[in-house]
Amino acid sequence: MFDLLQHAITIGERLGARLAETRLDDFYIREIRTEMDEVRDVKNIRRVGIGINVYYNGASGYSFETNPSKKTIEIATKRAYKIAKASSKAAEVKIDPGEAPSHKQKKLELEVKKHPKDALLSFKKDLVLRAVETAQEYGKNIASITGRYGELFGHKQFMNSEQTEVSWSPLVVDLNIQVISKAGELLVDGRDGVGGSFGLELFETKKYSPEKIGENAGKWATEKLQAKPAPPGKHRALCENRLVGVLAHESFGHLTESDLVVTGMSPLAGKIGHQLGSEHATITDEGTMDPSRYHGFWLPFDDQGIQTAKTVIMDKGRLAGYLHNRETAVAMKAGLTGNARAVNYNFPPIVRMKNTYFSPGDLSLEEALEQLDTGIYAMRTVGGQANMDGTFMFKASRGYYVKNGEKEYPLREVTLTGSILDFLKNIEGATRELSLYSGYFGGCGKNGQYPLPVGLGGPHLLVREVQFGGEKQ
Amino acid sequence: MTSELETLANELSSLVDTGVRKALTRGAEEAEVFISHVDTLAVNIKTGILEAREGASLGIGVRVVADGKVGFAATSGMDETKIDHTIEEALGVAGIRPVDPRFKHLADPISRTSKDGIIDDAILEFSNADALEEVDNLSKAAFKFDKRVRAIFGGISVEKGVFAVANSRGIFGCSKGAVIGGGVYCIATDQGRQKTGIESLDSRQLPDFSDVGSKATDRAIKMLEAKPLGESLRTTTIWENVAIGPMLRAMLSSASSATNVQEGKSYLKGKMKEKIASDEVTIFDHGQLPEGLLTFKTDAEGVPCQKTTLVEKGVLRNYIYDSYAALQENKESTGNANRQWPEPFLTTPNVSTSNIVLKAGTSNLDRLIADVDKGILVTGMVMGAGHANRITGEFSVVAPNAFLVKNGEIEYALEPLTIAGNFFHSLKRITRVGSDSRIMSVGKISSLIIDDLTISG
Repeated sequence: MFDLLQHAITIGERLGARLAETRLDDFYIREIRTEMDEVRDVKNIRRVGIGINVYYNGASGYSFETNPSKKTIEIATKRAYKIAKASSKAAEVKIDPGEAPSHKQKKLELEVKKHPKDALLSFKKDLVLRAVETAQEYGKNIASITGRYGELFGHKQFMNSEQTEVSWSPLVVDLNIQVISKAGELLVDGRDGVGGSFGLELFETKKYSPEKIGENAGKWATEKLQAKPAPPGKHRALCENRLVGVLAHESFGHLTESDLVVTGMSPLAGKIGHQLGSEHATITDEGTMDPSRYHGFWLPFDDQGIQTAKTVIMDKGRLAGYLHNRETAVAMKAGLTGNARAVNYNFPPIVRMKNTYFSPGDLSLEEALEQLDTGIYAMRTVGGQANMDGTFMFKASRGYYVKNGEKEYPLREVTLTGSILDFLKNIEGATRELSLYSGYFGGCGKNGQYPLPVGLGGPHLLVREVQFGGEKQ
Repeated sequence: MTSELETLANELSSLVDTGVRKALTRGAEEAEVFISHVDTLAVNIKTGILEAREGASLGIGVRVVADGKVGFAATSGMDETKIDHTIEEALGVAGIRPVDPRFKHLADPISRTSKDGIIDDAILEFSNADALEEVDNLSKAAFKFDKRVRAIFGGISVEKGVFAVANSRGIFGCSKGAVIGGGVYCIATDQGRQKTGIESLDSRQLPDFSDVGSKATDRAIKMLEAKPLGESLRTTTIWENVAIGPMLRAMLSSASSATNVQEGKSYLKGKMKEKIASDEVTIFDHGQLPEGLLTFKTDAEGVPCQKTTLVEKGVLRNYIYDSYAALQENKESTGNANRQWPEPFLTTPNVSTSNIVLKAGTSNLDRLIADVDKGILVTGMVMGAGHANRITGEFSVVAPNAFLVKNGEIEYALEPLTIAGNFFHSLKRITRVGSDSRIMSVGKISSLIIDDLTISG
């Protein structure tokens, strides 16, 4: 396929492109879904497509093709050029991709012990059913148990007219279980799972065995049968790692994406060096965390062929940096961070995050609970949303009401809302551990590009005056 | 231009037909071949910076039954070799998976008259140059409206395409469609405050986008004077059509799915013919609404689409079915098998609503407001509707564009407000439905009033 990419570059150059970029996504995808102990859906997908981005006189144009041949690639490249040319006439603000160092990297692969490509489908099916079995054991009044396994692997190739040639192999695996229990009219759920760039050997560990995942989902659904809604209003909160990760990514990370900064959309525009958070707030975006320790998404290169960097975006409460693609790095006279990503071949790369996390602090979990004193321990998440005015809305899927440092009673789903800038100022402490999460199911959405796999995480954070939503009783 | 879609439809139709025969030759007991071809054209503008893309996404999805087991495989691209390969892969999956004891057989043909939605030649002919011009207009209108506008994100996109599906039980379906959408997300700032407004317009007929920019801006500007509510209380809530639409769809699509009912994942399980909503509420799943964005001749299994009454004057009348769910109850599919756009070939069908149509009332939004003594008005986009719990109905959303209403009048704009409750309980507290039905990506929805929700801010 490299010759087809080369063909696109040659045509782009011949047409007079300022810069031509092309990439091939070749992915193998498997999904298994179970209901109770029955295997409901099994999918086997091969997704191949080529995307071409052409820069011409201060604008770019993107085209894509799912039937790659010399002829179709030629048509697509000409179309991308035509779009770029039309945009360059209309654009009020010109973009400039600048110069990037040329890079050659062939077939970079994450080393894992049991790559999913070498494992049988029946083994993966058993992973799900093993989890379902323990979920049944630990659940009560079960209405349904849904199990899901998903994997994506394959190759990404990138080439540009600056002689950069990169190919690497993405990998993401995901196993999760949802138990729904019925208490009279009320339905409650418990979920657990693990996802990220790792081999199937992870499921042999005690912490992430299918049995443990099933046990947690069953236990947590059972616990929720007794759960009460959180009292709405402001509380001191202890936020668990996954929830903290979503806050780092969704509510703060997006505001540091420089396409939103250069265009004046982000409230963080022009605030580099400003003290926006407490000393406990340090947030980093990184492409290749140590995969033996963290289960994020392994991303060595972005979709402009740039090696991913480790970028501290908030340093002890001070705004320290933005995330860039080539064009914004030029516009803001900043260094390249490797944050240009496209969800698939249908889209051009835009500024996106990689693995975004809060740095750990020095508290033990016991100390954090003690310091919380009376408030809400909010755990896990089913997602959230942020707005460009800095407002956020996150759902914690479980939690406890804590009184005098002791868990009083379990909570149903709770919603945290507020302004991210207040939230960052109100962080009072962080625990010592750092956990990262990613997955095949779900992901980040921006400008219609969803779901992009990202990693996120952090320690537990202790935060004062967090607004909790919910029904007033 | 319509003929271009016709040609494509003929091409896909013959490919799915051949595909089914090939799969049977290779040993499948039953086979279904689905092929889609969707052309996308999109131009975005971010405060003057343009981003444009254009291309076609096509692919094949095959379901086969072998030894009573269903195998699914999908491949992007489209030619005979790829069809052969996908059939082999699907047979491979069927060979190694366990039996699903609930699977009976693929969809049976149903005799029912149905047709595609409106197809407008002006949308089919809409070019990248047209999109550039419209986007420029959107952007200029938004900036011109008020000098406090700091940034905008706008865009125009066109999706047009065809899918064809055939199976060995005699199903043959082919649907065409073309829709256009335009929208603006606006940021206004004043004295260090930053507020947002959003407005969009989706249609099957080329609309006039000239108001979209100013409407988005107006929404943001109105919030610059917002005051905090400063308390938490239960009160009456008036929802503008665009504010309630997405939540209505998300909740009903999940709860009215017969699969979810059968699997114990629906609040509506066991409530057939019961009163689940107030008398004001009549809701259809309308797969044949000519102007509806989700209207097709057939669903993703090739079953003709139809209009199904979900709720009639508050009484639950029907669930929606694909063939799998229908066969569990010896019923007919309601034509609600869905595969995800714009690459439907990638997924197996699942049950989903088409256009959700809320039967309109007689009063416009102003009239609804005038009839409320004390409450709030929720306008524009609401954050968190997609994260509401579709099984239990519990929701907690944030409204960045809400207003306090007193004595039938809008008092002032409110700082972001949290609204919480249980959607399914709320159905019984819908006291009014407005006359202002609006076509949006989820269906055709009017503004409405829900009593007694918790608000805090």
